Amino acid sequence: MQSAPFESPFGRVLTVSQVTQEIKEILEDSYPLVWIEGEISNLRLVQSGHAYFTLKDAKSQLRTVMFRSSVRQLPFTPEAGMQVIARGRLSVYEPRGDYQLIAEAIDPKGVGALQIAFEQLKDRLFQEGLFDEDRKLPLPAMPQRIGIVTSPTGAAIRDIIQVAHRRSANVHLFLYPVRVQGTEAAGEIARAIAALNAFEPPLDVLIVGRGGGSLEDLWAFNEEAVAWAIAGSEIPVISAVGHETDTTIADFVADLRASTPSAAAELVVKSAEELSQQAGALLTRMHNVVQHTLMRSATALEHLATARPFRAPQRFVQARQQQVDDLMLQLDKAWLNDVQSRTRRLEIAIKALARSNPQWRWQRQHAHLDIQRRRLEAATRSRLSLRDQTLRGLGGKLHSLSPLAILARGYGICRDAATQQLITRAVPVKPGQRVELVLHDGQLACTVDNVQEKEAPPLAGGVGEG
Amino acid sequence: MTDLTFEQALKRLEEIVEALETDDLDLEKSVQFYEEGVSMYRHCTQQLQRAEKRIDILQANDDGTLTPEPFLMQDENGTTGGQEEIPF
Repeated sequence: MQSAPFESPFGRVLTVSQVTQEIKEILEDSYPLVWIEGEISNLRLVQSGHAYFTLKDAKSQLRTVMFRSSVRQLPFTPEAGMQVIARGRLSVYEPRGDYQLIAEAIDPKGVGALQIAFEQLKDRLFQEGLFDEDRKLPLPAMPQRIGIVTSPTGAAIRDIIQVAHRRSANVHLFLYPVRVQGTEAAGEIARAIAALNAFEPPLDVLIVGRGGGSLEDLWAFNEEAVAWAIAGSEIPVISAVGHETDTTIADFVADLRASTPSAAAELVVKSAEELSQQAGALLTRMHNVVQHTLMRSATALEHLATARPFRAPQRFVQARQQQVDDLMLQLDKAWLNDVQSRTRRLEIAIKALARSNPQWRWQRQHAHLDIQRRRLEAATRSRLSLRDQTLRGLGGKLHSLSPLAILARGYGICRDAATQQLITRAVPVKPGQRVELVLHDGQLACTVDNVQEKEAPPLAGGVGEG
Repeated sequence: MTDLTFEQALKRLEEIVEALETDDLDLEKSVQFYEEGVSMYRHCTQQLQRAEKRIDILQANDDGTLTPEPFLMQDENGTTGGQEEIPF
């Protein structure tokens, strides 16, 4: 008996569906889990979220599908041309009878998946303008209320506290505790930044970061949610992630990137010493200007007095005043409490200068300056031991300018020999009267030969040309 | 005056110095500015000397608001460190 040419000797004819089903079962049983290396080509990312592509090498091609749930777990987006190792199972797409790889994960060869994801997100956010310099906020000069988004148990908060403590500045830190690694971290960090923006009274600056770790550990700071939260913050954000060499997406978006959490703290917690110096420098500048103004006023007064012949002593008085002022200037900060009252005294002295009769002027100024000098010396001894030497030197200069020293320049004091009264006017003196002329190194006993009276009103003054 | 922050007082001091250096002020006005400047400087110094440091940990409430509570540093095991380890 001859059988028909298409009759199965086994008495069994399969439908396409049946054979496809059988092949599918064989394939699935044989390759429930495989790793396949190849290059991605013909990539299609469809609306549904699935990814379709072909894995190929030099000789062959393998259709591959990656379902949405798996695609979503990839840290990066697949790209054509990428060399990958795909993990999955083999199966058959029955409607077409194509066998295919159902990929559950793919891992880029060479560069890590995270690295690729990082580059991809960086490019995209750069395109979106998140890294633009002109959208970055300036940092306040002396932030006092500082929000910190990090782990309450990590190295970052410990480092920040240490810096703040060392700098002994006036700061109030607000820690918003978050997880800084793991799948929940990015969301928590993003929500913390938003919540701190709503905190009242407002914070001056935010530090967002964590201590060092692997790329995976730092990953939360490379996630898009964190990037947008930082970009959306109305309070300036300093990123402080890992070590100097770690750069994250958060660093690119932040208003300022600190290389470490400690560095971030140093940027915002100004040292008390620095600030004190800054204020001190301003005080000195202000003091100089006012001193200058006072001197100008004194000069104006001097001009008023130029009609009078005995202006030389006045100049010495002013020179000595300046000397005192110079001393005062050097005693800047530690002298703060004295400076103001001393300036007032200087002012009073200048006013007194205008009022005073030249006869009294040098004596009074001498006494006044002497008091000043003694005060300076006493104060220097008691309060500024380090400046002792300088001050003593200057004290010596002051002394060299004392009225007694003036005598050495050729001035003399004329006294009645009998009464020891100062002779300040020519008229009462009679020829033959005995007078004493006091010079700096001694005195002369003299007899008046002749008395000549000027027509102008006589000018008073204990000191006359010798 | 006492309401001023360090930053505000420092800024005012800067303004005063600017004005003194650039404007042609008479003696009386200069002295007036000077006095104000000195008081700003004192304010700054006082603020620096206060050096108040606080650190609070924020607890999120159900309504989304945040409540600050004093923060005690904990190590990885969750045990609170001794006071000497907490510089604040």
